[in-house]
Amino acid sequence: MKKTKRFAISISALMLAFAGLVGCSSDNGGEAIDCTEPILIGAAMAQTGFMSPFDGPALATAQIAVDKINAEGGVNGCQLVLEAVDTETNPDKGQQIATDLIAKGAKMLLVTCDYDINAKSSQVANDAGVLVVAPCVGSTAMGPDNGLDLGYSMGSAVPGEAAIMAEYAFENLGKTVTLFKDMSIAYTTSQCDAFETRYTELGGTVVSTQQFTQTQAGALDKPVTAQVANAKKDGAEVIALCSYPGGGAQALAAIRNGGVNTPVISGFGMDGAFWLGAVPDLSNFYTVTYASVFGDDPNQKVVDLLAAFKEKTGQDAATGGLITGASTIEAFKLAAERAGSFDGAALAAEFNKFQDEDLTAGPTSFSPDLHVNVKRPMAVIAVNGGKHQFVEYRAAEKPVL
Amino acid sequence: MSKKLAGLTKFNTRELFGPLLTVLILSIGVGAISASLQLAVQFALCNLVMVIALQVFVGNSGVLSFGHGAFAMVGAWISGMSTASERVKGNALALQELWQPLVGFNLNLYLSILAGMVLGALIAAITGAFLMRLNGLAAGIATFALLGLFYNFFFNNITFGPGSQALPAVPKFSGVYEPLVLSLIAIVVVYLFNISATARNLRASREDLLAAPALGVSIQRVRWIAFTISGALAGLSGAMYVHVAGTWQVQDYYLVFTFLTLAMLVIGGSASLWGAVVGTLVVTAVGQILLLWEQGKSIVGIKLDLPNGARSLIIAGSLVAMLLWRFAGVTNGKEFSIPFLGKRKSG
Repeated sequence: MKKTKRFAISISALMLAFAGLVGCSSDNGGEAIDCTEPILIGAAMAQTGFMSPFDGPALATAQIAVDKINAEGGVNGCQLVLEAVDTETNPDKGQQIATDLIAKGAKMLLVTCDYDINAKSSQVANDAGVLVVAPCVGSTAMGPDNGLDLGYSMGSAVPGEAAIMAEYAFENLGKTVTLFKDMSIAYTTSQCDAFETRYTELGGTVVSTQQFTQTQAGALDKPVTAQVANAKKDGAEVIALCSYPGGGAQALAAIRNGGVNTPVISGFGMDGAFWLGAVPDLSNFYTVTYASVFGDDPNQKVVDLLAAFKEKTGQDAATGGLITGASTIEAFKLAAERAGSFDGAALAAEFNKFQDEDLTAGPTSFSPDLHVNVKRPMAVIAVNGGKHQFVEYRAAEKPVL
Repeated sequence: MSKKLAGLTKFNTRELFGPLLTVLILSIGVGAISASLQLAVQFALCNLVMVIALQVFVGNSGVLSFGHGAFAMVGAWISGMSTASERVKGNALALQELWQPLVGFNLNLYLSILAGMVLGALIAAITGAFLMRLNGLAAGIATFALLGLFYNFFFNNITFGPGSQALPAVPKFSGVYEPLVLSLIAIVVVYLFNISATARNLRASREDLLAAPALGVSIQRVRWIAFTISGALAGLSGAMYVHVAGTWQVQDYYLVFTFLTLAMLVIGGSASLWGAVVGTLVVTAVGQILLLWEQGKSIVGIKLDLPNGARSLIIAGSLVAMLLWRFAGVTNGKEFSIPFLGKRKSG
């Protein structure tokens, strides 16, 4: 009796196991150019989790670009279809989703805007010979040095971004700087490192480097009172803040509350107005970012895209990073038309030849060794009295590679 | 007290081939359905090896270990580091500070897996010599500290690895067969160990810490042997994992991995090899079903719209339920058997 019961339990467990594993099917479709079915573009990006504020808007503009291109007749006469599955910012889930999308015949895979999160999914695509693009990875990790011959980032990477910060600060704000270096992620540490390299090269002086960290939930680990006191003692003409909100905003608030009113310059990490509540009436603050989302960007393509974004999502764009999503699709169209093919290697060969291509994100170039932009102009935006104002587009004179 | 103790005593073909065939048939059958299921099967096989590694030690000794993730971590590290391409090791952004001899350190796939096992066993043998004196709570906490130690070392060290970042471009298995064969070998090894005198002595110590030494069992010695063997298997599991993921990241072998595999062991029934296999299957399958429901897909016609995150909640909940009402797991700590078949044969 007892044995039979145990047997029944074991067997039902097995049946459950089998049912679970069987519950999904896939079809392998589409070789060569054949437009009976639309060309599939897969997206293994985060719609939830801590990467979603970066991935979500980029994904939305990618969809806008797909709709626009389809309305204009598609690519090589084929319609495009974008299929996005939420990775929840989970690398393992991303890998499985990527595998699924590629088995379905995706010709390009969009991945999360952080290399450490997308490493597995990127490699799945690369190994399968499928072009893989992260709309806004800010490091130089996407590319052959990390084994991704078919991997690209449509972002403007730290070597260029930090150089623009340093060049703008040196020319317009002052010749001595105190660095506020957020040690939490590679993006911010490499940003301050590159800033220091370029700033001292120009003849500026780094008076001191103040380190701080923030938690995964985005709050300061510890108050930065001591760091602010040191900065006050430094008396430097500029502060470079390499961070991102909320910890970055808290640090900035501490700087201002500590009575330090010198100009502060930051990168894309501190773009947007959503965190300004932490620093009321902020003045004398500058960010270097992709584009202005404050209604004063001189680039008509950006203005149009922001309007389309607002229409589609009902929300204003939070940061300028979203324009890279649309640019990823534009780049795909350009490469596919030049190659006359959707093959991954052929598309990558065309990407490698990109020379100041006119995309929404600005002139875009790649080379066989560098699969991310470091020379593309970025927007400098000033904040005074709590209001953002576009200053200029400028490119790095000398990226820090 | 005529209660028969859980665990194997002598060789029984059915008890060995039951788990082997189950794993074999399910892996090949399910893996053939789709590309992402093939990947899921490969990950499940890595987890399976980890769960049976835990079974060897935790199941037989009754001492809880949270430290096996550390052995998987080092096994995966050496296997990944010795097979990643030289170009990547020399140029990747995260590996700028890598110790030079590691850049040129290259092994083929199978040797690298062997290296993972050896390193796992070595670390287990060294740490086990000290840890095996501990019982109960102290043992659990000490092994947890071991996991934390290795995690923090690798997370912060950029001389021997990518630190908090990823080591990319680790060559992958070509399909289900390689991890499948490795898992089957692991099952046979564990079965043979479990019927050995050492394992029986270890189980005696699990049942009574005073009586076992009185019968001449050196508890520390038998635990140490089991810990070392399970360290080798955990190293194997990590080495397999790195060749399925294609990337080494230290987070992969930390808390989620540790608790998921322990949950599999407990849900299946920690006292038997069959329990370890069933636990892995059930948790993996339930996880896959819930995953599909979370994504809004239907399974054999049933469609539920679960909110994201429901999966982790339900797996954790079922662990609690299991601990409350069926402490010995789904299999009740028994080995594989087919009751009808057994009756017919004996009758």
